Amino acid sequence: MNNPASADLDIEKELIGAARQGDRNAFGELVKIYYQGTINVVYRMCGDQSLAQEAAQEAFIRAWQQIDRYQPRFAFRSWVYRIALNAAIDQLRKDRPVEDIEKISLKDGRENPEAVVEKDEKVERVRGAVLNLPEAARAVLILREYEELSYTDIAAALNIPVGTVMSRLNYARSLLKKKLADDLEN
Amino acid sequence: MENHVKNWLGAYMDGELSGSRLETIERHLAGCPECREELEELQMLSILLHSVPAVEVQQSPARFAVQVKYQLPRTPARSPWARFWGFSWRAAPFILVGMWAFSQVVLIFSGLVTLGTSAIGQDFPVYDFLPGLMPLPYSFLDELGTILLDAGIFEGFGNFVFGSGFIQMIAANMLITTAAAVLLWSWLASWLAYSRSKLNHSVHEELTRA
Repeated sequence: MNNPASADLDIEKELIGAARQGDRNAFGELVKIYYQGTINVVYRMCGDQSLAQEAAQEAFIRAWQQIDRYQPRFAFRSWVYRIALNAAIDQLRKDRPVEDIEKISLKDGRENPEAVVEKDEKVERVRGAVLNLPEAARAVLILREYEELSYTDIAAALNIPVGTVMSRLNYARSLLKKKLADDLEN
Repeated sequence: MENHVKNWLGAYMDGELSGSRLETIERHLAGCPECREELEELQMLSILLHSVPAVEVQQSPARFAVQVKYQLPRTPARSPWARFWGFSWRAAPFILVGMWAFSQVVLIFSGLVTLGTSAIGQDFPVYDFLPGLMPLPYSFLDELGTILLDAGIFEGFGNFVFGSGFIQMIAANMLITTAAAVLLWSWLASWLAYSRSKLNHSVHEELTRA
């Protein structure tokens, strides 16, 4: 997870200021900092690696176009993630087929093929359960569980009240508990 | 029996609670097996969710950043306010010149009108002094001048006699022209300074481009 320390936040501020003036190199540095987190977020929203790559690129291009609208009182990461989530949703709505998740191979050092298959199936079920959540609940869950954003940062990222963050998280978790009840028992 | 706190367990697990709320939840959990079980399920769910690996990144952040940079439009889009101020700043000299021209028209016209009104009842050789007035009927000027004076417009020129009124008009004209010139020159100087700094910035960017 990318979480610049406070000293790095000053550098980030300078980069943002320069990017606002049209400095593409400065914006490139911001892209490098937030690339991993952004692509994780869009991947977990889309469930497809190539879609995620496209959505991540689109997200940063939009961020460049809208950087004048960024308000420094919010974390830059939250702002980028909001754009990324919208880009991911737009990609999904383009009616592209989601890559068959059975084809995604996972690196596993164990030699036992049955254990590997079982683990793959379990991961598929979990990934599928997350992808089947309503978009609003899915976005909140991803930002909390995988990016470990605080409720305040999630609220800023999605432009919703903190109370709504909490209720959507509760909703997402209750749906997942029902869907993954067997895996939870095991 | 105290109400269950299941709605708060997610926030508790995420470390979002503090103060009296946190104490209340912890106190409740100490005495409620049902809520403790619910909390354990949430924790198990979180572990399960983390079993899904992150995306395998196909390229390095640096390479991705280069790809993105090449697709970026030349300059970032500007907010509506920024666009408005940008347009206003560029339009400022035209507005200044327009306002100056308008003030000239007003001054000349007011001079003509009051000349027309002050000429009534006098043997004043207006024809000789201002031949341009020839096509304009006195009655029209008189009519218009009276209306405008009654409305309070051109009050300063209200009853002026030709000599002192003319000097007043010249003084007002000089003041307005000087002010417009100062503003225009200030705008020009700031525009030159801005252009120079932008040029220096572009050169620096090109020299340091990876």
